[in-house]
Amino acid sequence: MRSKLGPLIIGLGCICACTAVVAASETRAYAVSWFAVAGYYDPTGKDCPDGVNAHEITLYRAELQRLGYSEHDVQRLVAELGDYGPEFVSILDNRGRIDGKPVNVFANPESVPDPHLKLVQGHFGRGFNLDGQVKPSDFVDPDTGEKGVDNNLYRVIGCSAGTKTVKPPDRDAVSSTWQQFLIEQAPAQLIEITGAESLDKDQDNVVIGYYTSLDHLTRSPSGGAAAGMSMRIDPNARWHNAVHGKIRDGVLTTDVFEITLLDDPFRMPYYHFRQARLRLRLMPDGTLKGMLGGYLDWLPFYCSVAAMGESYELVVASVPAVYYALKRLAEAYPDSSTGQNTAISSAYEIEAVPAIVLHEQNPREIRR
Amino acid sequence: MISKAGKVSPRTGRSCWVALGATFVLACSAHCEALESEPSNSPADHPKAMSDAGGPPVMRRLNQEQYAQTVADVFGPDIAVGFRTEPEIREAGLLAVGSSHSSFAPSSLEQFDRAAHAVAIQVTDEAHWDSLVGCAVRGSAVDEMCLKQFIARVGRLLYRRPLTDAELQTQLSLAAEATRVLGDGRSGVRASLASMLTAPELLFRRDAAEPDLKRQGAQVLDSYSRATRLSFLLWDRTPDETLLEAAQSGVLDKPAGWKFQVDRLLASGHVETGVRAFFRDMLEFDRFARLAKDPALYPKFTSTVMADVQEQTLRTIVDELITRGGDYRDLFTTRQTFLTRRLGGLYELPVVSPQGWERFEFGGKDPRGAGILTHASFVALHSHPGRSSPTLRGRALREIFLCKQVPNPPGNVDFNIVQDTSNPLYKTMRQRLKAHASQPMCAGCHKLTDPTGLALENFDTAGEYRQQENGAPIDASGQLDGMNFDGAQGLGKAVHDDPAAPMCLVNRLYSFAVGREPTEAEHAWLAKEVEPEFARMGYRLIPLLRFMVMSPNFIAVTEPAVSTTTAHNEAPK
Repeated sequence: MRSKLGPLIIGLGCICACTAVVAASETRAYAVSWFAVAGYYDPTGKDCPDGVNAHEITLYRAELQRLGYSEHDVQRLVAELGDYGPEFVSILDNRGRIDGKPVNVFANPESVPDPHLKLVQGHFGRGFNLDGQVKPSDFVDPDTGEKGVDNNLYRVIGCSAGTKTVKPPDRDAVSSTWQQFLIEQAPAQLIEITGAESLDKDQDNVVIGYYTSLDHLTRSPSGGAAAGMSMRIDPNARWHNAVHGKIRDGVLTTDVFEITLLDDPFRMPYYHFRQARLRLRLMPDGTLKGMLGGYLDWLPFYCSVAAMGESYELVVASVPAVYYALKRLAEAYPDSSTGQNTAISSAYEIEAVPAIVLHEQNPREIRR
Repeated sequence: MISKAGKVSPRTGRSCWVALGATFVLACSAHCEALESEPSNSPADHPKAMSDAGGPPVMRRLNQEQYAQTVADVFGPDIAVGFRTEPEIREAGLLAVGSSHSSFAPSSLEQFDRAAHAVAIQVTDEAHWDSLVGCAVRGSAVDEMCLKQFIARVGRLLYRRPLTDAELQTQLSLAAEATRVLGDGRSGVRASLASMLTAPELLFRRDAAEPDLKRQGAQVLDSYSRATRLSFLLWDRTPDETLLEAAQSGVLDKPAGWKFQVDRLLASGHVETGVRAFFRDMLEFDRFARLAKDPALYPKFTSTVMADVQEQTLRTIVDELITRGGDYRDLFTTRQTFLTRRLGGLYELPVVSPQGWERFEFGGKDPRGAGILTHASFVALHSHPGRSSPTLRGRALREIFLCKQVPNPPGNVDFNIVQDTSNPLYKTMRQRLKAHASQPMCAGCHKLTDPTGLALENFDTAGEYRQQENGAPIDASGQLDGMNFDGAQGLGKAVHDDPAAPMCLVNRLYSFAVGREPTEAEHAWLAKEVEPEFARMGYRLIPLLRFMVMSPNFIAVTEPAVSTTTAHNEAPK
């Protein structure tokens, strides 16, 4: 948290030091209040020239037809969609086939043929150039102008109703829903930034801690995350991440690092980014805005989609289609035995509010 | 609102207003200075200090909490009581005094009636009949002897004295008539219960007097009235069975018996409830029901936080004065308090426990650690919805903690300068107030309040700490009665050292106990005997309570006052 006492302390230091120049270190702490895949709203529609992916009735009708149901039965079952009847749910959930037997399609996504998800084809996409290369298929970040941006996760989810980026300041339905999980039940993400001097100044020696908290966020009266709350760091070192960074013109950028964060099992089991990096702007109002990019383990991401199951297919797209797309577009960290890439390039938008981070060893120590 | 006979002290500021009438506006400055120079509770004002002077008997209405607690005490905590009466009236700084000068509006009596019937239905339902009534029902009739015993037993607890034969007979007749009309004995019991639960004997605590056997011609409270006064002061609840038994047997009339009961009540955990009730009243926490902050500017000040800030202060008081038996004056300087996570968010302080309360101690140099004056329960309560108010804070401090009157502003004051927080010429409240108070008609009163309140300017209207306002540094220097200091810590120390603070508490506590302002003779006693004793006891609250209730003054009664006045709500600030 940015301390309101900070300027006083710094001021007193300056007075006492008289002629000497005193460099006072500063730490600010934050709780992440928004964490969602970074997309791009393309007003030209060139991002998804083929339209959005089939969902709801369109998807289910096609699936029932694929399973061989008569048109009469398709009509009857689709008519049950509004009631979400048990027969309808059972058929759709168990539309996978292994050795000719019905299996749950969300748990066994390869039990159906690849529905071939429509992918983002636009020129712009937000994130980072993770591999250092500028390929024709890469995005250009509309905010920074950076070329060679790698964000295949956006490419996967960006042309589906419910996850397609909408015109700001509105936000897509799934991210908004996930936000509620983030506030109500997911362990909070904590960011702690320590500079050798005031964080308002440009500097090279900044240390960033990124943690999972034992606590979840507190809802503010406006429905978002309340600022200024105390948050304990999860003592499990697996969720402790640190990286070196620098500040230029109020923007913090970091070295490449690896980061693992625990999340809510109903939302996302965990996040594991490799070749990760942060770009965060320290806002004048004390909040933090920016992005975390890196190669994300895609299987946990798929788990979060599969956990939503029918709900996802009602508002977004075919779950197995997302699975196949993730698997196909994953471009890093191949499995040593199968050769299948385990990570997909990604970028997550971050917003964070001031918080008080409590360290396990000294919970009373105020890190702001 | 029905008004009752009551006495208004000539020291009351409002009466001065009436007397001065239209000339007050022009004389504002002089009036404020006159009030300020008036000695407060000075022994010199009072020719005698009698420890058995007493005052007129009063009749005080129960408040909602006391009514609900009475029902819980008599019938158990699982009997639900849901109702709301009109706001209470504050007089002489206390609702407890206002309760002696007001009755209930018809709408409140309707609420009581509804609540009483709801309670009666619960008490007589299948789930509670055996344990609470316990009378055999034969056909449509309830065993008559058992019913008589039940009404006598419950009536004694509700009326805080035994029912007279006539009252008992009235209740039995009511039950019989209701049984006859409704054809159900339980309905008869229900009707009788509802009747007692709305009876004036329950809703009002009446001081009943009897001749003082030790002083010819003098009067004292009768046993039941003194039991009631003692129980409501120390426990904020109706006398329990033991205390009523002591009253009935005459034990309370004997010094040893009285002392035994005083010791018993003071040793009980319920004394915390009594102390909380007193401070909730003295600190004007009833005003939180009408408090609002601009949610766009102060999103942390939620209804949950509003409840927590009151509890924070009450916990701090209980911890300091009861748990640790500390010095009352230390409430203004203590670095100890209690926080929840939500409160930690408001104050920007670390709170480890995700749920519940935890003790917090400010570091030695932390300027926020300056007693209850820096709690949001004070700085937020005495502020405007969108901006702080050194004037309201300074006035509240003088009136609540020092018992010094500050008049209301005249009606034609131009507040434009102080209300415009965006004026680049006056970035801080100090600058705005300086410009505003330069108007001659305002200067007199503002010099009483503002130098004190400005010391709390590091706390915004929601109680959050700040060092700047509109980008300009805040100057939190202040002054109290000629003593200069800097910031909340300096102010807390000044109040701590001000002799008016403990004297004010003594005054308020006694007023709370007897439900009226002290008489002149009682003022003298409080100033010459009680306050010095309070000092000798290290300004500790429990010994002070013991000293007060052990004094003959606690039960002494004079002739009722005959003057009448119209009860009024506290003037808007």
